[in-house]
Amino acid sequence: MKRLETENLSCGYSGRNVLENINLHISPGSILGLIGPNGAGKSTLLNTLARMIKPKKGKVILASKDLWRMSSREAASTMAFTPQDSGNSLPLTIRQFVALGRAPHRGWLLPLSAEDRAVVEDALEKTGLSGLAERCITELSGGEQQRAALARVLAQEPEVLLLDEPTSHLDIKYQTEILDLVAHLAHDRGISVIISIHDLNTAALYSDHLALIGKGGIASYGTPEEVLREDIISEVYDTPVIIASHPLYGTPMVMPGLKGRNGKKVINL
Amino acid sequence: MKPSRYVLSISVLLLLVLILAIFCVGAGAVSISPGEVFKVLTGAVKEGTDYIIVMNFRLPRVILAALIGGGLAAAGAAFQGMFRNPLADPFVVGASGGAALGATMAIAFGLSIQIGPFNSVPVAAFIGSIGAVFFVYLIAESGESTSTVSLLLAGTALSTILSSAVSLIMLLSDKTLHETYTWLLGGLSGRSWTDLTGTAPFILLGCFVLWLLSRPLDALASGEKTAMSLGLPIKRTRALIVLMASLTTAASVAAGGIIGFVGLVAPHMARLFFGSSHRQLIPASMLTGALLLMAADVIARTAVAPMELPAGIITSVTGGAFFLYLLKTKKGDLGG
Repeated sequence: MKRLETENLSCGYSGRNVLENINLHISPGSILGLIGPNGAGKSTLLNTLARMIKPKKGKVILASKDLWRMSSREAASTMAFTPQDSGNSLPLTIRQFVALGRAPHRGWLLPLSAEDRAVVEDALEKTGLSGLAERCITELSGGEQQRAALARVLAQEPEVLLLDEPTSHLDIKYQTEILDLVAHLAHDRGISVIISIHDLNTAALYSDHLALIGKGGIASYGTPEEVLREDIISEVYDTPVIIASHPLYGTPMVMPGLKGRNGKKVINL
Repeated sequence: MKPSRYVLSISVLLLLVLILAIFCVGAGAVSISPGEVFKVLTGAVKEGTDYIIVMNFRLPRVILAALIGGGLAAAGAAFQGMFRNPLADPFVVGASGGAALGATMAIAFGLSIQIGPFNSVPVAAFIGSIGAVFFVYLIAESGESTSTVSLLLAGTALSTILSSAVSLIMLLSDKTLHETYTWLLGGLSGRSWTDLTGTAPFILLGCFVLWLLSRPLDALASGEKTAMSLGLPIKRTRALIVLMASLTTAASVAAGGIIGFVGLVAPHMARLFFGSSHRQLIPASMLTGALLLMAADVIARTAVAPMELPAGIITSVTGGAFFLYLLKTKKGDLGG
C-alpha cells in the first residue's frame, strides 16, 4: 500500500523547473528522508507534495487520489505539513495554536467538540507541552516552537506527515528529542513521514529510506546504506567525504574528507 | 484566556462601555446628571428639555461613536492578524485614501449625489473607500505571487497617489479648504439618527462576519503556509476578510471622517488582556474601540466648548502616545 506517491512529477517556481521526473512513494509507518545540497530543491519538492505549489507536470497521488482533484480540506484531513520557519508574529497560546490542527476535521466555523479538545490535549501531552499550554507561542525557545509545530500536526491526525527541516537551528538535544518523537509517530502510529534534513548523519539514523535530491532530480534513492556512499555523496555535494559507521547502530556516518583541515595531521591511513 | 474568565472580562468591559455612554450622554453645554439620563433611557421621562437633548442630539452621537470606534477596532484587529503585522490598521488597503478623495471631490466640486437621506459627502466617501480597496485587491491578486505582502504594498502605493490627488484638489479650491480639512481630520459633530441608521447595518454585518472568521484569522496569523496546509481556501478567505473589514471601515469613515489610531491601538490594548485568539480578541477590540472613541468624542465637544475639536485629533494624540508607551514597555508584543 502506498500512502503518497508521485508520478513523473516536475516541480518548480514560475517558469523554472527545479526538479524533473520525480517518482517517489511512501508506505505506512515509514520515514523517508530528503537530503541534498543547499538549493537542490528539497523544500520545493516538499511544498509541491504539501499542495502549496502546483506541479509543473505529473501528479501527486495521496491515498490513491490525485492531490489536485481533492478539496484542500480533504487533503488537509489526510496530510499535514510543517513549513520551514512558520514563525508566529501574533502571540496565540500554544493550546490555541495546536487547536488549529482540528480545523480540517471540524471546519472553520463550529466550536471544537469535547472529542476535538481531547485530541488537542493528547497532542500537547505527547509533545511534552501540557505544562506550557497557556504560554504564548512567541515566547518559546526554538526547540519548544518546533515541538508546538509538531503538536499542531499531531492534532490534525494525519496519515501522511511532511516536515520541512524541523531540526534546523536546534542543538543536538532538541534535535534528538524532535526526531525521537517523529520516529515514534511513524513506528507506533503508522504515520508516513517525509522529512527534509540537512544533517546527513541524523538523516541516516532516523530514516528508513533516503532520497538524495540533486542535479534537478533524484540523484539516488534507497536505504541509508545504499545512498550514503562515498562516491555518490562526494559527487553530488562536490566535496570529498569519508563514510564510517555509527558505533551503536551501524548506520552510515558522513565526514568531511581529505583536504587541508586547519593543519590537522592525517592519522590512521 | 479560559472561557469562564473571558465571559467575566468581556462583561466587565461591556459594563464600562455602558457607564461611559451614560456619562457621555450627560456631558455637554447643558449638563445632565447620570440619574436623569438613566430615567430618559429607561422611558421614565418622556418630555422636557433633557429628554430632547438626550434623545435627539446626544444619544445618537454617542452610539455612533461607539459603533465607529468598535468597527474600526474590529477591522484593525482583523488586518493585524491577516497581515501578521502589528502596524496594520483599517486603512492599510487604501480605505482612507479612497474615502478622502471621494469626500474632497464632493466638497470641492459641490457634487450632489443623494442616496436616501444621505448627502454627497458620506456617499462619495463610502464609494471612494470601497472603490480604492477593490482596486488594490485586484492589483495585488492579479500577480502570480499570492502573498499578502503585495496587498500591503499596493495599498500603500495607492494611498500615496490618492493623498496627492486630495492635496492637489484642496490647493486648487481654497474656499472649501477648511471644510475639507475638518472632514479629513475626522469627527462626529452634528451627527444624528440618520447617520446612525445608515452606518449601523454595514458595521454590524462586517464585525459579525469578521468574528465568524476568527479561526481562519488565527490560522492566517500563524503563517500563510500553515493556513494552507490546514485546508483553508486562502484566496477566498482573504477576499472575504478584506471585503468585510473594508465595508466596516468605509461605513465608519463615511459617517465620521478619517479617525486615526483607534483601529490601530484598540486591538493592541485588547490583546494585553485578552490574548491573540480572534474569537475573543475581536469582541474585546470592539468594546475597547468603542470606549476610546466615545471618550475622545466627549473630550472633543467639551474641552474648548462652545467650539468643537475634531475627535480624530484627540484619538491620534492619545493613541500615538499609548503606542509609544507600548513600544517602550514591550507589553503588546509589537513586532513579536
